[in-house]
Amino acid sequence: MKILVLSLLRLGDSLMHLHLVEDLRGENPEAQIHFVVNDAFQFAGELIQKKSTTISQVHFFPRSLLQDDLVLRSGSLFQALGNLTSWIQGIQAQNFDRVIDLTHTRLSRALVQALDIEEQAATNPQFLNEIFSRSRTSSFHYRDALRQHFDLSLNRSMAKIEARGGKKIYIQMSTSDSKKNWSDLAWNVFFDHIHAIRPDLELYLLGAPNERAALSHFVQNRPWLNIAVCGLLELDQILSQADALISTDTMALHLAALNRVPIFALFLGSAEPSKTAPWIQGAWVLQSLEACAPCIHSKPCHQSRHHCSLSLDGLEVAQCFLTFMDRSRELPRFSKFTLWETRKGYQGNLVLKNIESPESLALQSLKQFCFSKEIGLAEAVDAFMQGLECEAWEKSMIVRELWISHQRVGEILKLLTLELQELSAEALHGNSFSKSSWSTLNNWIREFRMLSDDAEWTSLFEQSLGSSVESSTLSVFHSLKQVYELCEKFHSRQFQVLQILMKRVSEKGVFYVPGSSRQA
Amino acid sequence: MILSWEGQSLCSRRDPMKESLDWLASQKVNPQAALVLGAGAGFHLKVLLEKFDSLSILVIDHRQILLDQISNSSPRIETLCVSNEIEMWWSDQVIEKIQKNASIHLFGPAFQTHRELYLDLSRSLRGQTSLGFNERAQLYHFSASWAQTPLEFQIKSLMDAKIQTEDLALLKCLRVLRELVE
Repeated sequence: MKILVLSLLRLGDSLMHLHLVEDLRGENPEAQIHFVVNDAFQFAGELIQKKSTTISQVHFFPRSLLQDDLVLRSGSLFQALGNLTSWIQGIQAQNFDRVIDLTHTRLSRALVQALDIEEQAATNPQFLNEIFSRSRTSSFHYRDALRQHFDLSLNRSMAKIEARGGKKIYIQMSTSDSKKNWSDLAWNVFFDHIHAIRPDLELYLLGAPNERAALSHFVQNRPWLNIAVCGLLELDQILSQADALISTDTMALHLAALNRVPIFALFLGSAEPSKTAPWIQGAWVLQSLEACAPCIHSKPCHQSRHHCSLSLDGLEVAQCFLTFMDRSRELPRFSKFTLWETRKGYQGNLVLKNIESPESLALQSLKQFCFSKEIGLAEAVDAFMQGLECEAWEKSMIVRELWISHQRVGEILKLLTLELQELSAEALHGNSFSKSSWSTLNNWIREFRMLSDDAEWTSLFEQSLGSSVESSTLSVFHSLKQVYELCEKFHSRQFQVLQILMKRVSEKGVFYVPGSSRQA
Repeated sequence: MILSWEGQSLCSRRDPMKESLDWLASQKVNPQAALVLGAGAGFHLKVLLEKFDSLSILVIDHRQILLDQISNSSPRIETLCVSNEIEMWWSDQVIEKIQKNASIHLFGPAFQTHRELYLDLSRSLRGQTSLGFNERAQLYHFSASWAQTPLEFQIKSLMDAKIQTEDLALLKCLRVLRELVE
């Protein structure tokens, strides 16, 4: 079997996707796996194959070539067509059996269709749409969301950072996206404080060869601060021996995770730890608590001042980093950011633990437990509050997730009501249901099934729809209506539980406002 | 080797190899097939052939004498002497290269007083003149309304999906390009 994997985002995303290639290898031990990245990353081909020996070949999608052909005056639509078709023919000539699109953009969707290779079926496309949606916050990391989307088993569980006990600290300050960068002034305060407290640490500023001049401005009058200019393969080599990496949301983070380096990350601007934190246990990720963060990825900062950067105090961040390096140090008090630690959670997914909260196990199993039919309302609430080794932060996360999901179920039930009202008019007049009515109803029920934990109601729905051939229109309508009423009743009971839970959790302190990632 | 024509230089007098290497660095070359507008003194063709082992080149120029000079220099070089766009599209050599998706290259120092001719030929080969557009669309078996501004044609036609074809594979490719533009 030959499998083609499309990873057409940025280099950091492609490095993150290498974890999924391992899962794919676990399920297809004999398969040849080829990996496609954008041509802008041709320089990274060797690194990708080095980091994932399971990949047989790396291909480069000629994205920048095509874009030049299309938008430059010296280009041509015909050149673009020619270049694209010859690339597609080259891929098709290799006779792939399956294509897996890890990119999830409209471009990659169109490319999959043009390649005309059988696509790996997704088990839950709606789920991935929600995770990738700009407006939704999510408690699933992209890597975990994609694994679930393609129903892949975890082949290699999440690695842990390796504390190396040395003193070489590498710092990647800038990203290609200015809204994710921290101010130069704050970096200077940060460096000076670290050196004042821990002069034994060797600090190296990482950069590409063209960044040397920009970096040299930081080392002026700081003889203890060094510059490490390197290419990609050298960076990998450096990180394999580094004792820690401090970085904004960059590709270096994900490369460091593959090297198990202790990581201290600063997530500013659109960077969202729950979606793109380094996929490794034990990294610390600092996230701004500014109201506008995380902002929209594809747009520049819309504020008059770069609030999320300016509000982070260099001194506080430096103290947090020193605690990260030496856990015996007390964590300073801070209010402008949240400090998360990456952990392995339910089913091997990445979860973020608030450093300030006490420790416990993950809570996803509670979702089934609290809302199973065997347990009463009071018992469910008591179990949630007292048992299951739950932490406040985990409780608040699960409650938030449940709240969002139940709101959506509520919306769907409302829409189902409207649909059933229309169907009732058709049914009572003895007409057969129109094709469009069936199709709309089917869609809502399909979505309901994705969000509802209860298989019984959804299978009843399906049976009602499935019986349409044999039964009369009226009897199908009646059975649908009965199932709907049961669903609504069950949902309202769940909703009651949820309301009580939210109240109790809020009394405990840490609490998430539904639909928002911020603490209230 | 002819280094000047009608009193004007066909390439750099100081360092023609450096000039050719700099030119090559700015070109995106299809390593299989290339169309080069301007024969010049041939240094730029030499560096192209040296860099790409399996490249075959069609050199277009309006001076037969210059083409005669370079046509014997390598079996991978073909030549075509033309004085206008219509003559160019009559050539089977051009059609064959276009079908191979040859990259198109302009070597400016060779143009001398005929700069406009070469720019027109280049536009035509890219499908950015009415004749060039029709020739190339015919090769791809599709039709679309011609717009005066080439760039406008490219972007707008893709965005509005005005291109008509029954070739499903081509339609899928056009959709990919549309997503890239968007």
